[in-house]
Amino acid sequence: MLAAIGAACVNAEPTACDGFAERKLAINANEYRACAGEIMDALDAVEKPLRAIVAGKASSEDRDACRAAYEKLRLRIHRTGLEDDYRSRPGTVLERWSNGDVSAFNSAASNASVQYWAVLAHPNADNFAQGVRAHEQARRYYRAFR
Amino acid sequence: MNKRDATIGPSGNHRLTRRILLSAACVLAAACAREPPRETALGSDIEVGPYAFRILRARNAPNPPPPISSFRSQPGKKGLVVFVDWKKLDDDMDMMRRLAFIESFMKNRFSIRDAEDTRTDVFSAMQTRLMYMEDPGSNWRDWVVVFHVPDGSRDLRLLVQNPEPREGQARTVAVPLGM
Repeated sequence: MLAAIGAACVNAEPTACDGFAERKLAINANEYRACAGEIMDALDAVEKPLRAIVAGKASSEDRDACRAAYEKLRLRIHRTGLEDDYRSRPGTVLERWSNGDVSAFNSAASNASVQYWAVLAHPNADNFAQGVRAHEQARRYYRAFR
Repeated sequence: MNKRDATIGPSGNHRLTRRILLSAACVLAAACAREPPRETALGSDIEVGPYAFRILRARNAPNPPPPISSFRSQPGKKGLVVFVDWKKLDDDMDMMRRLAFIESFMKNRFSIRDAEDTRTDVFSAMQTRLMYMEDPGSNWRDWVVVFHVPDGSRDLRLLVQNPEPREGQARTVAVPLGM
């Protein structure tokens, strides 16, 4: 699975999130909307099969679908550069993300992604519940600037 | 039938050498091409991406100082304040975000250079009325930036870094402070 995640990082597939990692100032809601929509779609696509995995009822198709959706999610998050913003360079958040709802969406989506990754690695209800909570927060903030 | 030589021939070495030289030339060119700061007068608009502000003036820090730790005197240094008027920010930034952004931006992107090219970073930044111990209310535009520069430094210039210059904008702006 780690190899799959690594492959996602060098995937050449174009996405609506391309180019944001290089931006340093004032990414506004208008230009970010499409990327956020793709991140939401990917989170939604991960959640359903992941629920089946946690419940111990997943088919091999569910597992494949979950991994594929997670790769899409990681690729989009990677292309925004927001992992670094919320992990190792918090000072840049204010400069890069001018809209409060967008910034809160990024934080929630990034949290959801990390929790879902943990569930994929070691299926468990605790991380899944935290992931779902962050996912719901991301959805709420996304609605605010959609 | 001739056997193909599998060792790296002179042409391979030449290619490698050429690549190394080319890379070195690129690094050198990039270093030489670093654009000098664009000089801008006090009171002129400075545009940074979609935002704009003006550096109004610079003064010695108030004496006696207000009871704020930023103005506590430091040995071998003199305090000075730079007045900034923010003109344009995103419309969808709420008040708290405006204040947080402005403070963070000035702390990270402003500095002072003197005649000896000594750099002094921002010590603190606050809404102007706070310096006078007054309530700033909803005024997010008027700010002072506090520096403690070495005693005896002269020909001070405020440098403003633009992290993402748009067309026509400078990467670094220098504002002579007249001090």
